[in-house]
Amino acid sequence: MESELRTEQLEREMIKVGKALVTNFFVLLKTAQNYREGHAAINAPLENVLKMVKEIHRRNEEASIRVQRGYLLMGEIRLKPDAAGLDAFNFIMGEMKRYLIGSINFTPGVTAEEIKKFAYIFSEIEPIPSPQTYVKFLERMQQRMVVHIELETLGEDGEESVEVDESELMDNRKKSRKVYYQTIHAISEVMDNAKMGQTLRLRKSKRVVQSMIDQLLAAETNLVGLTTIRCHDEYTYNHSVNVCILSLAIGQRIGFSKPKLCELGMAALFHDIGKSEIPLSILNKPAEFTREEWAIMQQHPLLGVKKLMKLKGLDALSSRIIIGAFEHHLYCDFSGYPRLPYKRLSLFGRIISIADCYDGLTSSRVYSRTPMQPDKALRYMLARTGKIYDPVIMKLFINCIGIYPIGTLLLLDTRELCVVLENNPDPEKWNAPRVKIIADSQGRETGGELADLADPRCARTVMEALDPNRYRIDVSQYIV
Amino acid sequence: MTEMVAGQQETVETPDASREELTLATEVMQSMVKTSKGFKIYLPNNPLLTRFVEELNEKMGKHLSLYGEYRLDIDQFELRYKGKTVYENRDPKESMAFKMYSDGIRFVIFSEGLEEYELCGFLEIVGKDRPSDVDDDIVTLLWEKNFPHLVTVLTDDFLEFDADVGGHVAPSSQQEKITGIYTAYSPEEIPPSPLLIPQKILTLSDKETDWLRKAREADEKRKPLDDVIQIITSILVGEHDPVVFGEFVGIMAKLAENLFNSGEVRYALNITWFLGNLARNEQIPEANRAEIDRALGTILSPDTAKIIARTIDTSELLSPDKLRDLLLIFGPPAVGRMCELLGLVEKMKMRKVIIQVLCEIGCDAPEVFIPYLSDSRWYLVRNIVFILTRIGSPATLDSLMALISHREVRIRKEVLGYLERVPDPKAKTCLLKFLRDDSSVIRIRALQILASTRCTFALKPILALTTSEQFQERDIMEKKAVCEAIGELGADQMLPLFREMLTKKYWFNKAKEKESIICAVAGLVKVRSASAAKLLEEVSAVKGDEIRDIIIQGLGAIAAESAKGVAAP
Repeated sequence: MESELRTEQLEREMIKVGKALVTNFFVLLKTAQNYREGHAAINAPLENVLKMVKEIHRRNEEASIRVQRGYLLMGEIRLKPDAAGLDAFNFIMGEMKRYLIGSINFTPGVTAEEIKKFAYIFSEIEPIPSPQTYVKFLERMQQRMVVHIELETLGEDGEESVEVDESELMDNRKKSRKVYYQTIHAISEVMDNAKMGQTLRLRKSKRVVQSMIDQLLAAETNLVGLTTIRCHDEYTYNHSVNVCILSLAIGQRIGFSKPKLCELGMAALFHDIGKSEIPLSILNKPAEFTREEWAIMQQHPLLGVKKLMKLKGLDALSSRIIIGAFEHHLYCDFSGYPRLPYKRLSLFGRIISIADCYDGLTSSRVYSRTPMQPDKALRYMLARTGKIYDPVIMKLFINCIGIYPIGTLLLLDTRELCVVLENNPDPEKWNAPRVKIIADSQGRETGGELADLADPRCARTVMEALDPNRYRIDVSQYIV
Repeated sequence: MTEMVAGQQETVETPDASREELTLATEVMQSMVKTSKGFKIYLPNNPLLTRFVEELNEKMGKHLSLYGEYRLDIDQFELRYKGKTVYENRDPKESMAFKMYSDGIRFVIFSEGLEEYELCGFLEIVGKDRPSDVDDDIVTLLWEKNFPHLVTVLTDDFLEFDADVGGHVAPSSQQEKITGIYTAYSPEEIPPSPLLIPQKILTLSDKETDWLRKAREADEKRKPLDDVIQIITSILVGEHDPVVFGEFVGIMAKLAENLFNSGEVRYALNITWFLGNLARNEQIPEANRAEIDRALGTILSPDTAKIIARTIDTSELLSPDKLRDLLLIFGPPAVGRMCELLGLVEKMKMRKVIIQVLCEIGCDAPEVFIPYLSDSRWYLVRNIVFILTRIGSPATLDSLMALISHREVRIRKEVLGYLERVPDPKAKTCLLKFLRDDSSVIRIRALQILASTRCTFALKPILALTTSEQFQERDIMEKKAVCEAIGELGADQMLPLFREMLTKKYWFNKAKEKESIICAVAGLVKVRSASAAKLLEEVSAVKGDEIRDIIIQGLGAIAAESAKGVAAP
């Protein structure tokens, strides 16, 4: 009887320690998502996880977290979360499912450094709905010398392995998408209010731009990839958000601080706010504009300034937004519009101008012709640097999006068809991006194998960039 | 509503934390609340506040070193530490929990290494009352601070994203379209590898890196407000459409007003001068210039008047010439506000400038000053009456008449001046009312004005005054003034009266007799006729030396007047 009681008590204690491990691991992963490696904020949650692991080892138990039938287990003990810890449990289970991880075992000898590296791998690897995710995760652990943490894949016959929700597996992308659409929602709200002549409120937009910056710092590629979404009906909103993302990407390359990036993001997001004053009959005209209509369209920078001057107070942020709205169609040589005796072009203006033009060229705007292929748009813009676009900022822009920007449809020498997902960070390898193969050499649609064209083992090279619009292929569905 | 921080005696061990841990967590919260209140009450250098901060820092440091982190679960009105409520306040205006909760924060985690500035920064942001219409909330402000040892988890972090809401279309087969590509390209047609963009034009040279650094530095140094002003300036200079021009003139004027109100006086003044110069530019169409004048009049609001007054009194930013120029730019539409400014400025030299300008630009519509005649500040009313006197328009007579019985003598005196100056006969009739004023100075001045302006209708009332009992008690100066007025207005007709005054005997009151003679002489001097002189000579022969001297002086005065050619009344 006494021994039974003793066992029960030990089990209760183990449950308590196990729950603490899960909660602390949750905090660690969340912190790792928000702070770069080496940031002081990671230290405390890291120590807490290590402390719990050591405590479990001290009790001669296995410090493992396992997913089984919708529950988290430590060893064989089921950990039932209380209300306060529910979020942590759900999050950990979600993360493990996304990476197809069945169990995580912190073996004796594990160090804080290994746990830290392990936590950051969750942000480094993009979960895609393929067993390759798990393999990639293991490879990454090897590369980063994480040897005292063992993983097991989700069992073939386990409940979790039967149905893996693809969208859940793409957590980071999902986050990016979430931020993207939140931003669309915020800008549409502001634009609608502007149309109705109501006071402009920036709080919501500021929040989403801040989230966007966090997301950009964590996974730039995902966010930039979202700019391939083309929505004709909501062109102005999509375009505003795209320009915001592309501008932020340039700003990040320039090395702007987070608050400065926030100002840039807001300025880019609102650069076209003056269009809320343009009649929809012109804005949505399906044909080329007449000269009079162009004249009206060209008023939008001034209309933007007029709208924005109604903002309560004129602080640094609202001033920068006004400058962005006014300058974004001014060229390097002060041509462009509005044609006024204004001879200054701010850094923000130069950045937004390039982002605006690129997204405009590659989008099928209602009032424009068919969109240009991303690589051709870049060449078009490069040919006009110095006169229209700032050459230095233009270079930085290409640094962000590569010479085959995300979403470019490529024909490989293997006659396979692929879409660019990510550019190689090494400029030497910009002609060999990471791609998703969407059709094999026979023209049969494939499951979306990922390939790094820079990897010699891949043995594929780019033959030509194709125009997806010519063939009505929606590349965004492979990226987003 | 009361703020409740869990007491130590209530601390009971929870499944997740020992009693000691919870006790310390509660102490940290108590200290947080105390410090947060301290920030609202004390100045930053207050020793008590310094002690609160030190105490909080010490307790938090101890907690973090023992337990690694201090994590608070945030509920609508409560903050919980490991399941235990450590703070509760149900007043939405005061509750730290409510403020964070309503901004969407669900957890706040302080981690080891937390520094004092982070703690204080957090408390200042969370504790500060913020109007609901500002564009920042706790989340955006904490984000901007980027505190390294403080993490917040938001409700958004837990919300699942609905792909359909985002308009995302689930991937579908595009086989048909892909086939289209392959049909278009036969194997032989595969083109050669595309030409790459040369490497050298994709990477920044040292020169370009240097340019970028300098551009960043220049941008950092530059005030964005300068650019905004430059933008609007360029629009006003370059825009010819009258509608757009009018809108931006209004925007510029509003900007100037806002800048005044936010203390950016130099900017505001520059904008105002710019608009003023634009209004004087004859190349600008007449209609646009009128638009500028109208807008300029709106800059000087009651609030901006206060700011300008403070600037005038406390700085050298506005010289008298610049002030004059500024007021002339504001122009007639702003006369009312300038009166307000006049009531605020303390420097006399600058008040004179304002008065001068008001006299100049208010002369065509003096009625705009009328509301200020009932102002509670006597000095402002006096200055306004002074301005109206200088303008001298009868249009304001009725309003000024209401001030005849104003309790402030200096105002009544100014009104008297107005009545003297204004050419309306009604004004002179009003002067009679001042003969019964409480102040002898006013009464004397009224008599002098009536006499000098030859208001003969006043003779009778003045004579009536001399018969009143009060008159006998008035001082000699006033009695002299009465006699002078009588002499001036009644001329030779008054000789019998003066004769009586000169010859009347006061047997037991020599002083009274002397006073009577002095007054009579003063009156006869104003009559200044040959008959008056003859009367004086006649009386001088029978009087003693002292009285004779007075009479001789009177005769001398009459002779002098005659020599000057001043005719008898």
